[in-house]
Amino acid sequence: MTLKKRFAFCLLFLCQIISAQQDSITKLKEVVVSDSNLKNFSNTQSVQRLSDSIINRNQASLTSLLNYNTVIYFKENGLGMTSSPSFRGTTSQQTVVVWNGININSQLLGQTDFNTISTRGFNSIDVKAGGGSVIYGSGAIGGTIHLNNDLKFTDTFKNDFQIYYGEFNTLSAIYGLTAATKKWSFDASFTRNSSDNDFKFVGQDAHNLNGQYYNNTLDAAVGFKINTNNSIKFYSEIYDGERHFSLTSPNATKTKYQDYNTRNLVTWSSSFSKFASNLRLAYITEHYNYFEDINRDGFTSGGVKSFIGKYDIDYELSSKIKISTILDYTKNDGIGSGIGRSSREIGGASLLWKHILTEKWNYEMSARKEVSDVYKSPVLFSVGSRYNFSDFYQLKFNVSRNYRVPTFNDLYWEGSGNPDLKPESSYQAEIGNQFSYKDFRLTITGYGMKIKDMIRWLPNNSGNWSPVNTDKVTIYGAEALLGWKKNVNKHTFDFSGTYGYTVSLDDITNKQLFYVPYHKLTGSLSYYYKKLSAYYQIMYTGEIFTTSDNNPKYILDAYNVSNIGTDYNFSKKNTFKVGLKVANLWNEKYEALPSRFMPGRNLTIYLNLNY
Amino acid sequence: MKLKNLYLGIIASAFLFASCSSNDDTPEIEVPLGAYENGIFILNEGNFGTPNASVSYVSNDLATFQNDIFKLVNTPTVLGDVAQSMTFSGEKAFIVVNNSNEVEVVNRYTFKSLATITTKLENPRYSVVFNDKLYVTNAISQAVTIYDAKTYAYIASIPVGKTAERIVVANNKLYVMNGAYGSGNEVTVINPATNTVLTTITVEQGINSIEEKNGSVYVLCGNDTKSKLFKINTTSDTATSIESTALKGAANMDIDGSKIYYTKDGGVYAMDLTATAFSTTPIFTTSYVQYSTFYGFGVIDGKIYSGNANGFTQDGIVTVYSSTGTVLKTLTVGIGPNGFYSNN
Repeated sequence: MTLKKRFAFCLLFLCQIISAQQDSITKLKEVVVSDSNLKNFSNTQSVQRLSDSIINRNQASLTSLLNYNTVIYFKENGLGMTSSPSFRGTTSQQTVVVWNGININSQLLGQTDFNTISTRGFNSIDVKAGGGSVIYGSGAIGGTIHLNNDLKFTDTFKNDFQIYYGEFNTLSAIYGLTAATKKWSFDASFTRNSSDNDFKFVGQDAHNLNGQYYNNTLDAAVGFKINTNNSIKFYSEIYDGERHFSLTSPNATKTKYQDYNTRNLVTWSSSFSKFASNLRLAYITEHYNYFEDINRDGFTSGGVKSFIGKYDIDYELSSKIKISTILDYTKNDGIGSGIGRSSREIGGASLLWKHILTEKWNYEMSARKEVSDVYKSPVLFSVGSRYNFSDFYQLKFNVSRNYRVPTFNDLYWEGSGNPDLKPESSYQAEIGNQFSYKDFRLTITGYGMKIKDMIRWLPNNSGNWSPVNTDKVTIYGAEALLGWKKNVNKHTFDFSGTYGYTVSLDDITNKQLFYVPYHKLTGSLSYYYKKLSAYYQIMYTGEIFTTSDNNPKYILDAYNVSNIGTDYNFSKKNTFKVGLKVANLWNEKYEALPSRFMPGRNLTIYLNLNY
Repeated sequence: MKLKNLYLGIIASAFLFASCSSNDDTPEIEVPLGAYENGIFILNEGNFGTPNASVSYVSNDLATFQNDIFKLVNTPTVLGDVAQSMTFSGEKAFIVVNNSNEVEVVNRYTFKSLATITTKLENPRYSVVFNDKLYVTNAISQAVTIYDAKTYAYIASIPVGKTAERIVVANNKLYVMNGAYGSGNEVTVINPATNTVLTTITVEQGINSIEEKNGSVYVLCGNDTKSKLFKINTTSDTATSIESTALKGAANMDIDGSKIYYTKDGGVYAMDLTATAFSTTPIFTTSYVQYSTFYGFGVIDGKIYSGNANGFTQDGIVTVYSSTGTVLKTLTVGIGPNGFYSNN
C-alpha cells in the first residue's frame, strides 16, 4: 500500500522533468474492423460507439463503462460482483456480448457477467440497441455489445502503459504493444485489475466484507495481408479472475467464484471482383469454480467448450445491391456439477440483402433459419430502411424477430432440466430519428416489442424446480442519445448524454417487470484546453421495483452518481498523462440491488504513457 | 448538491420526457405495540441473499395485526437473511437466521433484541432449548452446536455427520431429523448429558416433519409412492407406523390438541393421534402452487394458519381458517412466511 503510493508520487514528480514535444495531427489510418457485418448491416438501427478515450476514463469493467455511458441498467450485486444487464427492459439473457463478431454469452447461464469483461484491451466498444439475432444469434433482443480489436495496417510501433490506483487498494494496470507494417499488424495487451474492495458503506458503520477480487486478461490480435485479395487475422483472449462475493450480513458464510475463459478466432478474408468471403473459426471455452464456503475444500464447477464455424459470402449484384449469406455451425460441449456431460449442435443459414435505392434512401432485409438437435427454432428476420430527408434529419425504421435459446442449465440440470423447452422469441419494431446540425447530434428512438415463451424456473409436479416457457412481456420505450462538441478559441467542450424511458410489462399482471427502472440518464461533459482535459460524468437511475407486485414498500430509491476527473499531458508528441479522478463526488448512498451498497466518494490517480 | 440537481434538471428537460411514475402511498410508520403476548408470531424468511427477513404478529382473536415488529422495535438492527425458525425459553425467543449465520435472541413480549449469537454457526436451521442450553442444527457443518441459553456462550458441538434439520426434545433426549427438501429417511437420537449420538432410527424417504407429543415423537414422511407416519417410543427408541399409498407425499405435520394435521398439495387433512389409517379426505382445499401454498403451515388452538410465499417475488399472504376450513382472516405479511409460533 505505502510502496505503491510512493511509486505513484515519484511518477508525479518525474513527469514534470520530461520535456514536451510537438503533438502530431492524427492521420486517417487504415483500420480493419473485426466485425464487418456490424458495419454493413446495421444501418437501420442505432449504434453508439465508445472510443478508447472513453474506455480509459471509466473503470475497467464493462459494467462501469456502460453504466455511465449508455441507457443500460445493471443489476450489480455490489461493486465488481456478478452483474447483468437490462437493456430496453429485457432480461439478463436477452443482451448479447459479441467479441470480434462472435457471441460470447455463457452457454451455461445464457448471459454475460459484465464484471468479467475487462474493457481496456479493446480499441472500441459498440452498443447496438435492438434486435440482432439474424447476425448474432441467441439473445440479441434488447441489444448487442460489441468488443472490437481493430487492426491497423500502417507502419506503427507503439507501447502503451496505463496504471490506475485508487482507494480500497484498487489497481488497474495495462500494458499494450501495437506494431504494424503495411502487411503485418500486431496488437496485444495484458491487463490486471484487483481490489480489496473493502469500502465503508455511506451513512453506516459497516464495511463491504469479503468483496476482494482480481482478474488478468491477455488480449492479442494478429493480422497478415497475404496479397491484395487475401488476409488472415487471429484474435485471442484469455481471462482469469477470482472474486469473493461480498456479504449482505456480516456473519454470513464467505464464498468465492473463479472464472477462466478463453477465446480464439481465426479469420480468412478474400475478395475477388464482386465476391467477398470471410471464413471464421472460433474456439471458445468457459469454466467456473464456485466455493460455497472458502474455509472448506469443496467446490462446484462447470464449463462449456464451443466450436464455431462461420462462412460469409458477399456478392455485389450491382453497385447498389449487396447480397450476403452466412452459413454457420456451432457445437457446444458442456460438463459440470449439475449438468453432467452434455452437448448440442446448431447449424444455421442467414441471407442478407442491402439495397441503396437513391443517395438518400436504402433498405436492408435479412432472414435466418437454424436447425438444432435440441430445440426447434423460429425463422428470424430483420427488415429496415433509412431515409435522409436532409443533412439535418434522417429517419430509420426496423422490424425484426429475434430469439433466445435455452441454456445448458435450462436443458440439462440434473433432475430439473427441461429438454422440451422452446426458445424465447420476440417481435420488435423501432423508429429512429437522427438530427444533425454542425457538431450537434441527437438521436431519438422509439421502440416496442412483444416477447413470448419467456423461460422461468417454476416448481413442477414431482417437487422440483424446472424451467418452463411461461411469461409474456410487452415492452415499449424511448431512447435519446445526444452529442455536442463546441470549440471556443482553444477551449473545446464535448458533451454526450443518453436517456432511456422503459416500460416493461408482464402481460398477465400488467405490472412493470422488477429490476427495470423507468428512467435512466447519463451525461458526460469534457473540456479540453491545450494539454489539459477535465470531465464530469453523471448517472441517474430512477426508482426500481424489487417485487413483482411493484410494492412501494420495497422500492429502491433513485440514485444520482457523479464522477469528476482531470488530467494533463506532459508530452508534446506522445502521451504522458497524469490524472486524478473522484468517483461518486457527492457521496451518494446507493444500491443497484437490495442491500448491495456501492462505494461513496473515492479517489483514483492515474498515469497513461503511449510512446 | 444544488448544482448537481440543476445540472440534472437541464439534461432532463432537454430530452422533453415527462416522468410518469408515482410513489404516493408511503407506508405509515407504526409504533411498537409494546406487548406481543397472547398472539402468534409469523416468521417471514425473506429472500435468500438479502437481509429482509421479518416477523409479523397477530393476536389470538385476529383483531390486532402488525408487520415488521423486529424492525419497529430494534431499528437500526436488522433481523437478517432467511429467518428459518423460532423457539422459546422462558421470556426469550430464539430466532435462527439461516443465511446470516446468526441466532437472534429477543424478549418474546417486547421483542427487544437481547443478543446475537454467531459462534460456530454454519448455516443454522432449527433450535430447541433444554436444561438452559440452546441446541442449534447446522447444515454446512452437519452438527448440533450448543450454547448457554442465559449467557449465550458457546459450549460444544455434536457432530451428526448427515443432514441436521428439525430438532425436538423428548424423554430427556434430542431427536434430530436427518432430512430436508424431500430426501432423507433417518432420525438421530442424541444424549444431551454426554453430547453423544445414541442411535439412529430409520424411517421412510421424504422425512419432512417431527413433533413431540405426550412423550412420544411423531415423524411424517411423504414421497412419490406413499405417506408414512411414525410414532417413536422414546424409551426404547423404536418406531411404529401407519402408511397410505392412496395419499402420497403428505407434509407439514402439526399436532394441535389430540389431532394430527397435515397437507398434501392444496388439501388440509386431520386425523386423531390414535388413528390407525391416514385420513384421505381433506377438511378443505385451496388452489395449489408448489413452494408457495403452505410454505408455512401451523395449527394453533383449532385455527389453521397457512402461509403463501407468493413465489418470493412479493409479500406473502397468510390465510387463517377455522378447523372446518372457513376463512377467518387474510393478512398480507412479509416475504416468504414459513412458520407460526404461539406466544401465550
